[in-house]
Amino acid sequence: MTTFDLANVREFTTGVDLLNECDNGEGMECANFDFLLGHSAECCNVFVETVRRWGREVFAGRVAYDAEVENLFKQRGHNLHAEALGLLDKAHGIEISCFEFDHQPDLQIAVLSLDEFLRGWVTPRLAVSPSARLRPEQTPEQFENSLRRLESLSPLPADWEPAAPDQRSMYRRLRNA
Amino acid sequence: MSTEDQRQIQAHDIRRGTAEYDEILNWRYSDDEAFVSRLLKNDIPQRIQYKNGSLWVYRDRNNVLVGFGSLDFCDEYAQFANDGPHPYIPLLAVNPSMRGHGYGKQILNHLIDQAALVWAYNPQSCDRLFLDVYTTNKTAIGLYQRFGFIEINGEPIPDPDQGGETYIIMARRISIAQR
Repeated sequence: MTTFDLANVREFTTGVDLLNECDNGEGMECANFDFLLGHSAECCNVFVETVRRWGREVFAGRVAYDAEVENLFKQRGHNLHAEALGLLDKAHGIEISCFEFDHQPDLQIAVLSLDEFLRGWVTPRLAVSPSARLRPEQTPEQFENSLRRLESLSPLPADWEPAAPDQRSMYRRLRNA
Repeated sequence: MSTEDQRQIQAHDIRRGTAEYDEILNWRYSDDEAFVSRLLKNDIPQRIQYKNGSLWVYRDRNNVLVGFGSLDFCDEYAQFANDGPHPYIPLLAVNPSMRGHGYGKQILNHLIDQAALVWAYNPQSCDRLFLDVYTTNKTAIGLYQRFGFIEINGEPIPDPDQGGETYIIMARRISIAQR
């Protein structure tokens, strides 16, 4: 999906559909179901990444906000979430009698991520901060000068450690690894 | 316990919709700092949701919220970062009723340390930390300079969406020197 106009988003939200690809042709119920779990996880992940990209584009002013697009995304997101939860429930019910599903953990992680994303839903708006909206125009000479200034910056001292205890312990763990 | 110890602050990462977020959203700023509320309300939740942003609130030893700070990993100044992602400080602020105690320094230090820590985990990533600041905000510019940030864009840039108000881009290095 390269643009975020309504027609494209409609096509995307329709296409991110579990049932379109639920049969991989193996003819075995469990293998087929495992494939479905994996596909559902992929749908959730693709959905979140696509909406995040849309949000970034609106934030930067490269795409105009459209309430209809937002509604489509929201609706599809909630449907995907419900479908994925239904699959997980079913997986819990049959995993013992059948076998462990390889893609079940993938779907659990994807559902958690989608759940967090939907609960934290933010309507995208153009950024207030100039960094997101503007790209500073510079002459080649000014640009070279900026790079020289960046190059002149000194690193943190070799004995640097973060001040906060949690950061410091993470850093020490890394250094001693 | 020394006064300095008493003023040590602790960071807590938060998201929109929490009581802490609502509290910092209600802080009242002077007219020339009105952008703080606008950024906090509009930009920071989007940076968390759509980009790689984080938001921390800082509490003193009495559990009072003394400020907040944010960090993002984005590509907004990618032209200065080999066209790749880089750490960026979108916003930090001290509780308007608790200024003059050095909290701004501690908040900035925490954000620099966090960016450096992330760099330490991935030394191939960009080792320049960026921020931008309106040129009228002399106090903030002075603070950033004391923490090793230098202006990199040469001359102030007018922001057409803020009535032509000018801002500068600043950066500092966050890699750690070899022993």
